[in-house]
Amino acid sequence: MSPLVFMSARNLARNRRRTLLAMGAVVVGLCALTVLRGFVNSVQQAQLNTTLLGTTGMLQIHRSGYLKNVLSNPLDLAFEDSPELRNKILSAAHVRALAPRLQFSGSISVNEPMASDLANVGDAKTTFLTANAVDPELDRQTLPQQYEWLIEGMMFPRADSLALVVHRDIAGPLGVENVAANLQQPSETWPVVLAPDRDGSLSGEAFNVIGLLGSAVPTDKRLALAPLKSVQKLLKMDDQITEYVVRLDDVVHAAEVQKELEQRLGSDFEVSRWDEILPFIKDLIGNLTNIFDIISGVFLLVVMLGIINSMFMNVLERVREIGTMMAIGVKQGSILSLFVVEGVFLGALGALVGLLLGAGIVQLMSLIGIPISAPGSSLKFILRPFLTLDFVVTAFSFTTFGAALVSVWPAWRASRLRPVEALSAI
Amino acid sequence: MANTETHSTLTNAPNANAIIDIRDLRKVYQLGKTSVEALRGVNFEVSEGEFTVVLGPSGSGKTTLLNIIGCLDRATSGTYRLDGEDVSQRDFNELAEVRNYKIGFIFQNFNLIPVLNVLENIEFPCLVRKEQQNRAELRERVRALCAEVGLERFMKHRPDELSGGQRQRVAIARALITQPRLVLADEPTANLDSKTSDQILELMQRLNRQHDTTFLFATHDPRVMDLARRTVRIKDGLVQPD
Ligand SMILES: Nc1ncnc2c1ncn2[C@@H]1O[C@H](COP(=O)(O)OP(=O)(O)OP(=O)(O)O)[C@@H](O)[C@H]1O
Ligand SMILES: [Mg+2]
Repeated sequence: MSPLVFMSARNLARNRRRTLLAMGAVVVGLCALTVLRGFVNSVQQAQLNTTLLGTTGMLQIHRSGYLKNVLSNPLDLAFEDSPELRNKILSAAHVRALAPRLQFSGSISVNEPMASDLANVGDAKTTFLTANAVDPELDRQTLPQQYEWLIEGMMFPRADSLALVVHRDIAGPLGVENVAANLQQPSETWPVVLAPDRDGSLSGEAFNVIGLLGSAVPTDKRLALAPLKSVQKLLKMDDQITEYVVRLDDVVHAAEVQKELEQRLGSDFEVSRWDEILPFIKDLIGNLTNIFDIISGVFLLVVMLGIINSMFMNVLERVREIGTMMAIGVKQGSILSLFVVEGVFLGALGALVGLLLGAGIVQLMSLIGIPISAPGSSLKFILRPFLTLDFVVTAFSFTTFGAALVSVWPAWRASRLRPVEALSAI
Repeated sequence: MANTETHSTLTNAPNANAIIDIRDLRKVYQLGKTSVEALRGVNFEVSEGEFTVVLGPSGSGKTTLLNIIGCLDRATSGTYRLDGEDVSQRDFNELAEVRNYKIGFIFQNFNLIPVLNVLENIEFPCLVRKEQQNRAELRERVRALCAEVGLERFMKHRPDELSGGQRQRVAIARALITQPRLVLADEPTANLDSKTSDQILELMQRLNRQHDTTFLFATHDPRVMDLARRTVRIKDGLVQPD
């Protein structure tokens, strides 16, 4: 070991109190940063999972022009759901599951118990719905997260059931929030769904509300799930759907699979990635990353100021020692590196301890789980903080490199001391 | 110039045998608008193997002179040859090398490196050299020197575990490990009691004889005079004629 590196290590080891004090700042800073990162990671992952495995999926396939015309009636751009089409999609690499969906909107109304009373005729409770008609089996495979929000009752068992799953906040005002009681009701009392078909003429059908959705994130409360076959029949659109939702083995392949499917399906269809459909979710996650980066920057700045401060104290306390070393023949460059090495040791060691401590706390938080509820949502969500190797490596190297960089200043001052003056310091 | 042998200090020709050769050395300290002339034209020589005491009252310029001789500071004017070489134009790192190879320092307040033990303090000047050291051979030399200065039982001790006299012994060993041409000691006994002082003085003289190393010793204590083979008196920045 070079005598200077040896001396630096010795200095830190033998001035334990000063070292611990200086390292304390680094440890606390890095630990806090690590815990924060773990937490932010889990928030971002929750957001991503909600989107990718709960609402939007990783890829969606529509008739061409669908995304440009989202505001118009989606039924106009419906297409036929065929086994050949499904096969084309399912046989592409990385595709794991596929769910056909028919998006439609309509109204749902419930008649008061005394509706037969003439005075009360028309006193029905009505609300609007934007519903996804789905195949329960395929939908569960493709968007499993959705079913964690099923807070009461159950999903309809078959695509041709006459049942609905609606948001709890809709069921309440309609008076159908007691799903257990709903199951006992005869079909005459079931809520009626009225929906315009492609020609604009209204058709109606009675559906029982057998499940209630809550959601961990503020989503559209009018969103409901309906059985695909029953809705196709209601709308006189047998085998017609508005989209396929595609789940991949890993979302990192989204762009690649998108290209592949575009080629396979031709110009009649458009394949969209989740971040094209919901660009604001991507922005939200990106913004969180940016905010975290800014906070990290501030933390690191404080940590670096701590290192500068203790390195200056260190130099100040050892002026005569520096003078002695100069008299003995230590050159300016070596004095400089002596203090830079000490700064690097401080930074690296502090970062290591801080990261380990932080990782421990993250691990603990992950085991316990942090229940949170987003504003506007009705469901508690358990966050499980986690860290990536990428963060650990970056945090460690930034701190160590930063410590080296900021130590140069006090170290340079030390190396420029004049031997005579340094030797006569008290 | 004819008779250079007898009046070498008055000629301009450098004295080849002198380790220290100083001519008309001046040092002015600038303190704001006022200036202090600490050395006002000093001439003197020290030959190889001498044990010279620079004696003078406080403020006479001893430390100033030794700092210049030790290449820690520069003169304002005049010439200084160390071991035949003019060092006045050297830069910081060249001077550091000159100090490391040619000069050993013994300070009034010992100036040991607190985090290193006795052994490490003594070998330190050799370790900061550019060239690789034979560590085993170096350790052997350190041990021999420790024995010579009476520290063999304290090699693993740290400076703060030693008495003043012991610390100064470490400093002496550290000054000698590089086998320097010159050892400078600025009031090395000022922080020691008289009995310890005598022991340190005796040790330095013994080493001077045994290693044939040149010693230059500054003090304001006239008692030391009796021990020295040669005394140079200095007063108000001028060397007094004998
Ligand atoms: N850095 C400095 N700045 C200004 N004046 C100085 C400086 N160092 C020394 N002097 C002055 O130079 C003169 C000689 O000082 P020097 O320290 O060389 O004396 P000394 O003989 O070593 O004294 P002492 O026995 O007290 O150590 C004194 O008048 C002192 O005040
Ligand atoms: Mg002095």
